Amino acid sequence: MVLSRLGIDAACEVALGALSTIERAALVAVDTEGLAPLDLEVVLDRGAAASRRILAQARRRYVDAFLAARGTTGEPEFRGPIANRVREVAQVALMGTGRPA
Amino acid sequence: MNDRHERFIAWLESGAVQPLARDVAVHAWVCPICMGQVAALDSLRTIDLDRAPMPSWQPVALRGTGGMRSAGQFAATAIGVTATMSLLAFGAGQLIADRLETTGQVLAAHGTPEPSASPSSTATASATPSPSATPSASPIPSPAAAVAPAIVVTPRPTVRATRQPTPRPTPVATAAPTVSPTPSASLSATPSPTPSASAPSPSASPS
Repeated sequence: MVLSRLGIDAACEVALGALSTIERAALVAVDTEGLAPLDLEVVLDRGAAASRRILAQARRRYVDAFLAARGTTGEPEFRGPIANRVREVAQVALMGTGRPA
Repeated sequence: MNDRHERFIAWLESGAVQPLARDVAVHAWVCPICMGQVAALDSLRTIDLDRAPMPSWQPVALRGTGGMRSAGQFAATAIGVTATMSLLAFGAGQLIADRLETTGQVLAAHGTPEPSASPSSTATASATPSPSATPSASPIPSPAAAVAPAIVVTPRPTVRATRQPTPRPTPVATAAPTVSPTPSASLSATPSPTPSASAPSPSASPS
């Protein structure tokens, strides 16, 4: 399977398949390929506000579909860049204040 | 609690680019719902597009568009041929119409002098094309109208009558009598004397 070679698991594939074409294009362009918002406007052929709205809706629907496909009992893996950033900020906050969360 | 949760969700939906508040980060780190959403969005960012294989260089045949494309080409060709043929027919019609108009003008130009020749005053100009009549009647250059119509009519019947009767009778009468009598007389006379003369000679010598 080509998608598994790219690092796409089953839940991610199901969640991407639940999106519309323009939502999937927006999500992959920004969150996977790292395009700037101005480039997203060119890709979607929409304005700035419409592109932001489509991207936010795509992220919301993708998260819902991803969590539904993985299940509530699934163990989340915190190895991504967002999880690392949240952990770093939380550790700084905990060490600065000296209080456990 | 709910405020931090909503702020974290809003931060995620905005792209997780802006700086994250410490209290929100601490809440998200211990909240399974927030970290579930973080895992969902991190799954997109861990996709390695460099592992994708190169696309096939071979052209992909379009199945459904073959008939449509050929039908479109046929329609375009038919329309072009029809337009070309109609233009050619229109141009040819215009050329034929122009030629007929010019021919009618030429015929009309030839027709008008003939009726104008009979009157006396215009006959001096139109009488010049018939100079064959002038040598027979030589003293006619200066008088214009009264002499010209009488001369034109008379020479034509005299020339035709003299030419026709002379050649016809001579070849038919001389050819028939000279050829037929000579071969019939020579063939009938020569074979009969030679066998009759050779037969009696051997029988007569022994006796």
